[in-house]
Amino acid sequence: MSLDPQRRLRRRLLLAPTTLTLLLFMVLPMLLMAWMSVLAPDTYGGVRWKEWSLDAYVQFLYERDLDDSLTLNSDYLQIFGRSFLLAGFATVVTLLIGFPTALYIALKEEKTRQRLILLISIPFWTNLLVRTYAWMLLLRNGGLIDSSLSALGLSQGALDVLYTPTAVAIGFVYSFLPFMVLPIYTSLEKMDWRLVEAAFDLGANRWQALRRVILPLAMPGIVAGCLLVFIPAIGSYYIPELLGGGKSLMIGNLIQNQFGTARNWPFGAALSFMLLALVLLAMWVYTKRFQRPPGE
Amino acid sequence: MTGNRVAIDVDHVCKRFGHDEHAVLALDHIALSIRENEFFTLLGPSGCGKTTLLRMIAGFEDVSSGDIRLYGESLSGKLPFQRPVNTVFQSYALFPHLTVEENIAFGLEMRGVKAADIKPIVAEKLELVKLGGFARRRPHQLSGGQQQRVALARALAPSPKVLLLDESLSALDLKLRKEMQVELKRLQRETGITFVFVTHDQEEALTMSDRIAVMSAGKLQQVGSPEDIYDRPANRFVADFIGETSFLQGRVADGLLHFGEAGSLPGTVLDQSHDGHAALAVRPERLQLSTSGSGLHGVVSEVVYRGVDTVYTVQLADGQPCRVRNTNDSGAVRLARVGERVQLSAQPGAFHRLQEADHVA
Repeated sequence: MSLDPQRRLRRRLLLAPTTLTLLLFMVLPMLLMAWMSVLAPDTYGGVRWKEWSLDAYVQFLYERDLDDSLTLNSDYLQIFGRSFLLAGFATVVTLLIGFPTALYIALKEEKTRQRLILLISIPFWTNLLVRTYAWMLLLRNGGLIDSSLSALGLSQGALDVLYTPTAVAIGFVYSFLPFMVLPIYTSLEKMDWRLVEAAFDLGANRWQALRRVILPLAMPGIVAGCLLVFIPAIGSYYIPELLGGGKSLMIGNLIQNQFGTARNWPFGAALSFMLLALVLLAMWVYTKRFQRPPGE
Repeated sequence: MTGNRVAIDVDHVCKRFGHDEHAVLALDHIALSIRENEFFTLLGPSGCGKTTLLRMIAGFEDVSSGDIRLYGESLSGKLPFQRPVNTVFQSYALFPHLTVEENIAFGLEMRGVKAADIKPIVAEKLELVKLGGFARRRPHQLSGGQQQRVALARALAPSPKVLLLDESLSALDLKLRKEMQVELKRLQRETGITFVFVTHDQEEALTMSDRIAVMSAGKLQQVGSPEDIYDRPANRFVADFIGETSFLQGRVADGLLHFGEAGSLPGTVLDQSHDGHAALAVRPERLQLSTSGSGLHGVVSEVVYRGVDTVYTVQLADGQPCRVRNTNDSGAVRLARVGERVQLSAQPGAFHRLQEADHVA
């Protein structure tokens, strides 16, 4: 359908604030980063604007020796691998906890549902940074968990869990659980429960009804929840910084380092784009696998 | 043909919603037997408890007291998936993420039928409901009538002992509904499965059923064949709910039916066992209107011409209004006009005497 010029103009004007915001705060910075990633680093941070270089991308996989020969360096790949694993782990665990939680809430009465959803959203009232510090206090040696376990005689010696990947994983699951529960709840809440009744009527037991009817119909919510957990987790910065103590570095920390102490902005920019590529790839594979119409 | 074996025995079933003094009695001591291979209809206005009873047979509602037996075996404590009955839901409840084929196969898979055996059954059921070419479509690609057929095929596929149909035709438009009525009757004959059909549409019930149970306010009003229900309504509610009825007060004496100043009619009441006051129900088409001759005297107060017939409202000489419907065959009867004096005569047995308890109701 074609619009007359006046209506088209009005539509563009109405869209202008959004378009401008996106251009200014998303497209422009990304272009800037893309440009930076193909420039040479300046000695004290920043870039040399007129010196082109693909070093940043080469550096990701190779180390340049003194004699200018390249040797394979897997350090950064390991960091990417760890980030992927930790984010993947967080996604799986939040899904395993989040789906039953969402199902439980969706099956309650209207009033109870609203109350439970409020409870789920309460953590958002406090800054995540503050909550992460709280976890440090809980997890550290001599902290609440450690001392309770020793008092009960359940552990010998210190807990030694803070500043390990385990602590990071705990932090992830805690922080991102609501992002899994809410979209799944939304898709379950919209569901026509008469379909479940129909499944029972046709001889499906509870497990079969869950697997054959509820799960496929909740799939859009599950996909949304997984993306909402995986993407922030893989790029997350201060949870691994605080709970991992900088020892189990993730992509976010690496990027921050490059713009900070390492003073290699092009490499930081290049890493950001590698992360973007990784996330897009993961999303593509995921949606390919799970969002195709079932039964085809 | 309906067999004589009892398929479903509803034994003094009650259903209470809520607790203690706030409890609402949704079903009040319902007792009826549904025979094997029967097309049995639960008929009543909305809120009469008919759907609740159906959901109890399916296993979606608990029985508060009493028992429901399927071929003599109590269904109490059996979950819906443990009962050899299937339901055609009012909303069809087709699985939107599955194709027509997969929808129909669902019940068979759940009951552990081997994949190789499922295919021919699905194909056969698709043929049965005349949807041969639609196997790979999804529900949202089908019309209401087609979805209805898929729902039927899906419920029939596991060969249930009893098929429950919950207001299954009410979402269809009139023409489709008429088609599906014939279709359902055919399916029931061909499959030989006992059908329990819930509806609030009395015409639908009369057309399709072998027997009808009329329900109102959680109570069973009457169980019988369509002819029983129509010609011999057990009480005022049934007479009023099914078809058109005029309710009149008269007196039975000496084999005659007296209506005060309006006069009397001979031998027209079914139950003449005792003389005295009688509450009567009469169908408009069982009365004849004439402008001459004998009968009950009255004055026409309303005329509604409907092509095939004309409905008159006649004010009888004793003050009671009564409706008469006469067919307009070949202009045999001149149309009476409003205000004209007329006589009403009746076929033998036209007046049905209602039970005394219903007098005042």
